[in-house]
Amino acid sequence: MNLKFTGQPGVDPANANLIRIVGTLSGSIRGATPLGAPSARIDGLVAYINNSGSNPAEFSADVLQSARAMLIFDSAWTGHGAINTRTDTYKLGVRGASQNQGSTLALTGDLGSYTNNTLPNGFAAPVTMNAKGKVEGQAVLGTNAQISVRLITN
Amino acid sequence: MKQMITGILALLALAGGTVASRAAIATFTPYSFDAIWTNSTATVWDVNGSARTTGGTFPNFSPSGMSVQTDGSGKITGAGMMRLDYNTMGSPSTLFPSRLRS
Repeated sequence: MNLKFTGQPGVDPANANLIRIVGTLSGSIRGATPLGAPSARIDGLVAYINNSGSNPAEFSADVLQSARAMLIFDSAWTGHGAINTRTDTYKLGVRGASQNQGSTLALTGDLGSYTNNTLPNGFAAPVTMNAKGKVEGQAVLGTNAQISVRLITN
Repeated sequence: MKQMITGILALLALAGGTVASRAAIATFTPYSFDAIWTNSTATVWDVNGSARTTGGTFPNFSPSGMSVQTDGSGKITGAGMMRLDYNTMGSPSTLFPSRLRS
């Protein structure tokens, strides 16, 4: 069996409330089947991918940050960045590793203060983040991310 | 006088040592970070399954035990079985070992 599926986002033929990857299936089946022998041709059958869907782009990683530099230490991302202490802004370039290999993001934004029981005087980390790059082969232009930051204490 | 010069040198050495230490040591704060972009230009499509035809049409293709992943570059790969039904009875049917790639 050698089949090719060509599709794009569209209404799920099995559930009009869902958007899936929808398209057509074409190709050939070799061997004796009820469709024919020694081979049969399949052309333009409407098909869809049940396990497909769109999600907001997300970036999660562990970061080491000094007064002037940021360093990603994470199994799924690599990268480093620079902090502008005059404007309290940062630029951080990241590349995907392991399962994220091929993804790249240029991240920019403002730094702000977070408080924590361990560091009651606070620590600086991004409070805004915009992103430009590619994730899973798709262009991403993200603005005003929803951000959560947690100090690593162990 | 000699003692004073020695003292000044000692102070310089101490000061130099302090400066060198400050240059060599930077304090890093470790934190974990999560950012989600919900604007429309930051939507990413995932494919974690194989194509199937719509129910009730024949021949009917449906994945069976298929494992599919999309990697960071957008390449889709997977393997499993594809079931082919020819009629509503489900018999005969054919189970094809399948390898999937984009």
